[in-house]
Amino acid sequence: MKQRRSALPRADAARPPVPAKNRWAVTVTNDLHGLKHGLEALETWLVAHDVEPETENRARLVFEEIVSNIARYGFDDGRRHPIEIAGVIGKRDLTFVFDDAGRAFDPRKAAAAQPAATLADAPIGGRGLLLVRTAASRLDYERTAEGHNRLTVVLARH
Amino acid sequence: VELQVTFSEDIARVKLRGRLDTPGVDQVEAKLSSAVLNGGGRSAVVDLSEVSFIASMGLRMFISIAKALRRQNAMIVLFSPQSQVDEVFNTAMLRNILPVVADEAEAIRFAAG
Repeated sequence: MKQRRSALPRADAARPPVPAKNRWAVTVTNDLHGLKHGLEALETWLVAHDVEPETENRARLVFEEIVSNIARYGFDDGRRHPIEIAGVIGKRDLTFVFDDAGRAFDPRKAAAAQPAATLADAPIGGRGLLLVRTAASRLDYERTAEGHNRLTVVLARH
Repeated sequence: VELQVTFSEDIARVKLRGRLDTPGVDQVEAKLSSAVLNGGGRSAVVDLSEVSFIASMGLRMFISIAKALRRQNAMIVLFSPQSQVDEVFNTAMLRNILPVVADEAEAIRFAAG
């Protein structure tokens, strides 16, 4: 994992520029080691900005679910690949942009787990997408010209 | 993640402490499954009062153990989740498939049927 400076997410021209201290970026590998260190770096950043615990919890949840999903399903060549994550802290919200070169995946359109009535009927997994969609106030996705997934997740602060 | 398991005559008492994210589950799942599923068909009650975070991998772990215990005619009962963990249970509609109760006494009563 390495800390890096990134242009992501780009500043909205209609808004005042975001101070550099409110921006964060990290690159992690698509494996357990990368996820673990990404979570540690995220916690350091959020604590340094005194983000309220409820928002920190949702940020951690979204980071965990998206990075682990990319690590599990994004690539099938068994090699390490970078996942770039950028964050911006605003007064009202927290924005993350996840960028990876894995197979195309739009989490807005993928089927999430359906509620099961009994333990016997319940799938063991598949709840991560549901958790991300519930935690986020907005999800945007694009498949870039370079063949990357670029997922933007906005979390309302409260 | 820290794990403590103690056995009484007909119940396994489990205490977890830490975060049940992917790294945490990777650390504890094999130990927890082994302890509970080799408990001679005892049901398990799991104290979540010191679990500060849970993600889908944590849910997956509990559902997987619950299914395995069901095959032994036993069950897993979760109790005392912190509010942020409880919120994830609600979002994932976990209560439809696993019992989540307020405290240990209620968990033991539930497990005893």
